[in-house]
Amino acid sequence: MARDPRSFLPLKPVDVPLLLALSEEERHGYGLVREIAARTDGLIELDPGNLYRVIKRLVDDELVAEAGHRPAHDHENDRRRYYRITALGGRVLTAELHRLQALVRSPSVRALTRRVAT
Amino acid sequence: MMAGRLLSDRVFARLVAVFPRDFRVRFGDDMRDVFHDQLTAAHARAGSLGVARLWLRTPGALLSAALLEHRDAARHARRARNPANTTESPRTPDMFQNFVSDLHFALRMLRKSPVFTIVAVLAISIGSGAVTTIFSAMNAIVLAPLPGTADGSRLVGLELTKPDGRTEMAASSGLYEYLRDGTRKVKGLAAWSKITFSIAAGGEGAVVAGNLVSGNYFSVLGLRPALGRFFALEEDRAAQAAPVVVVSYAFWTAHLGADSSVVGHRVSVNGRPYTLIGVGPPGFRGVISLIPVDGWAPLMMSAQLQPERNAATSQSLRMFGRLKDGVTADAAQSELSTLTAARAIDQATPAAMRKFTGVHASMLRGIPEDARGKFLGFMTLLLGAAGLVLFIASVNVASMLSARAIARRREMALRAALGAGRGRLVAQLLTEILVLFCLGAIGGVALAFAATKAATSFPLPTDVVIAPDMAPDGRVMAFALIVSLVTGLVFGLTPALRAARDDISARLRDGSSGSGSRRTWAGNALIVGQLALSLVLLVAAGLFLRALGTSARVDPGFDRAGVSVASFDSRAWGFDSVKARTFFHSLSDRVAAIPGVTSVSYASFAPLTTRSANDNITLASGASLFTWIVNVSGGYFTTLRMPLVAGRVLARTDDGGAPRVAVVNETLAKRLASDGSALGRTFTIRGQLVTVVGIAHDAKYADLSEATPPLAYFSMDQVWQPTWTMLVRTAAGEAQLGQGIHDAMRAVDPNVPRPTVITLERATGITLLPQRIAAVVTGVLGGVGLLLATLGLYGIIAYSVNGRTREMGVRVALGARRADVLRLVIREGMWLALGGVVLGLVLAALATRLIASLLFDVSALDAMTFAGMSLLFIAVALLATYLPARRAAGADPMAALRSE
Repeated sequence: MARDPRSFLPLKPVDVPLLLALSEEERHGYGLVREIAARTDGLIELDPGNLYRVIKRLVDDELVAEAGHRPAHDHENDRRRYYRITALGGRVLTAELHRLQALVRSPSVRALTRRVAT
Repeated sequence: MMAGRLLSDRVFARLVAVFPRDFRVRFGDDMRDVFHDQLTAAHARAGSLGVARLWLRTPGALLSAALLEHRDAARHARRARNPANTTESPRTPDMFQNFVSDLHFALRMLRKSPVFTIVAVLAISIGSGAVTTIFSAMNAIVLAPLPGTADGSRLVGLELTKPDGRTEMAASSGLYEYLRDGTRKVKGLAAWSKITFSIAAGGEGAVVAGNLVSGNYFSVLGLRPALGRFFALEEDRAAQAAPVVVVSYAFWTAHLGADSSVVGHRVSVNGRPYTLIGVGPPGFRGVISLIPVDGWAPLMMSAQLQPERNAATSQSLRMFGRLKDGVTADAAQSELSTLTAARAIDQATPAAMRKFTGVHASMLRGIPEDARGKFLGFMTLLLGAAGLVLFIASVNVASMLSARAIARRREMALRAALGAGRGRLVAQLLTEILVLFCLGAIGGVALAFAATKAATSFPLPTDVVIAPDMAPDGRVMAFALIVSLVTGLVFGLTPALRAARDDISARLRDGSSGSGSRRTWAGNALIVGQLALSLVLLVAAGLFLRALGTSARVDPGFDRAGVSVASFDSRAWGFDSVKARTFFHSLSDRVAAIPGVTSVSYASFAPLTTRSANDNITLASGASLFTWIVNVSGGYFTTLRMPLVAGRVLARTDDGGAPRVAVVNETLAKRLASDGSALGRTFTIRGQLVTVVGIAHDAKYADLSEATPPLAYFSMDQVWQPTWTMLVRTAAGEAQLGQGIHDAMRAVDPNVPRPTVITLERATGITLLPQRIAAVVTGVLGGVGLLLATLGLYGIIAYSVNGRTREMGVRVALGARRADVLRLVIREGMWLALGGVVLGLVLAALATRLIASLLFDVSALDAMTFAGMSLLFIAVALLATYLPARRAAGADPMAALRSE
């Protein structure tokens, strides 16, 4: 049963960089932590507990799926579990980005950001 | 550093346990991987500091994530039970939400003042670490079930009780089989007895402690072999039917090169061909952790391995069993007691076994029941000492919290003005304090991991193994957390209440950030208390050190120096008594010929090694006397330089064909004849008449603090035992002598393996073990306590000096000299220190009574220790006061006056 992507909106702040990171390539847990930190200028540095809480929720909502185990890039002997974004996840992410875009382009946001910039 | 990161990984792995089970199963391993990567990255980026920073934020975040996950799981379950009602009751999430937001806020506040947080967490970690380490050792040795066993709490060890209340450990095989077949409450009753094995897989054999065990031994324990298999029940049905052996994992790695192909192959056990059928699980070394066992063979092989033992009458089996589901140890005990009592009145039962009328069942642990009480008492003392450190640390943190509460008055007032109720403020402050103590508990557990690891590798002056692994388990961690939370509540509630109580409007009007009211009477009392408690610990450490010092001067009645000992078990060589006796005689002749050796002798065991044997003797008057016994060869008194008071020593001619004779010590001689004419008197033991041919000086027997017992020395040629300890007085070193003895042994019989030779001083080291451990533990704790208390003193003086800059400035402006200001501040600190010393000495005088029995001849009120420690203490306190005092004296009067 395909759910309407809009029913998932708005996404939580941490979901966007996570889904974005997965839309580029499949990643394992620590790869996600690093990528999310990089995308948020270090604002969000997830601990393992909260990371897997988010992953659990996204997997249960079928936005993200497991992509099997394989060796991590820098740990040849150590197999890690990788995650990928699902088709539904892709649609939800797109919908959320459209929503954010609309928000950022709204006149009141423009007025605010201009004031901060000057 | 690598070790530190491994430790971090281990601690984190334990922390994951706070998540709900489902979550853990699904993501536990992944979470550990991620943390490991974060750790590696943090370490690569900023070294230990990075690791510390990671640890500062991870546990709290993990805890709040786990709490939310628990809530979600509970909601999910509720919804699954009651799908119609999807709305939540409004109250629970509110409280929960409050708690989670308090938690987040607390973490943010703690992160905002990292110095305070780190210092406080460190202090709590040290205190909690001390308590946790001791508890962890206690847990591993006495409280926890045997390591490696499945559902170990269902295992009970059995002892036999006699009508007079005394207990014995060992049963005959008849009694064992009777109970095993008769019980309905115990699922499986297993038995084992001690033996020495010499196991060889080609090449020279290794001599190890072994057990002969019933066929169900491993299955009752619930163990699985690391390799191969354990005994099948039919391998323990018929005598000598199955020459099979199982070795420990430790033996397999140390002596068989961890080679899995040896399983199923022939090895030689005590000179006979056996099949090695399996390797035990790692860590399992038998059911008594003091004597690690390396080999197991079926009980039915006893007839072959111990040919001269009469299986029907010998009484050597220790029993343990697994309780059936729903049966308590008490129920099993009363059932087995009834069975034993019924057998005692049955005339068909052998007389020796009729003396038992009951059974005592208790949880099976690594330490036998009789030693458990003594050990627990000792550990409780140490736990008390560690508790003092935790107390000192908590007081320290409490005063830091009070200072912080004063500094945060404005924040509190503002939040109250914005509508936060007093309850919410207290809850929020308490959350902050409890988070601190939780972090401290985690630090404490990490410390305990490190300390127990260091303790197990600490070189003991003896070969006894106390416990192979004392690392904290789940129970210890729960203990650490509960202790920390309770301490946090006790010490945190007052500062939290006080901070939230302040009058709001007064605080908001007050423009300053609320620094420095003069420190309170309560603050002073806390400092004095800390100082006093650390002095108590130092005095205890000093007393133990004095006791160790004097113990070297306690005259045991013989000369330990220059004597080496080696223990033999002739059963391990496959010898019978005739062959063994000849062997021991020729061996001592050959060892006596080794250059440097001046005297050689044998004894059942070396003196002062806590070992003892005893029996009742009947005096000529008909009175019965409980007497200690040791069997020796004639050279014993020469080797130990124990001159006889009267008569002669034992000789080789005092053998089986000659009348039985004994040498007695002075204490026994007095009991035999109070007029000093014991020589030539007789007594009987087990129906045999014994004549006294010599009287020896009283000497220490089992341990240094004992009162001299009545003691009889019997001739080794008139009694038989397969095990003997050789005592050699020599100018040669241990290694050289070991080689010499081994050469001598091989000259007599080429197949006997190498013996272990140690000095008698080392062998007797075990008697001082409690003092050594106590000295180290109280010494370390005392040092830490003193450090914490001194920091507290320093803090309070520095704080007070800071608050009084203006006063000092005025004093200097009015003509006070630098020395006057110095004196003023130091006097203040010294009053506190002196208060601590006086209170500490009083407390110490009360407390050292508890350790008096461990101090030999040293008085529990030893003046030198008390005075010495007080002086050390005052010197340290002086330093702690001098530093802030110097700063106060250096204050620039103009700057101080202008600052207002």
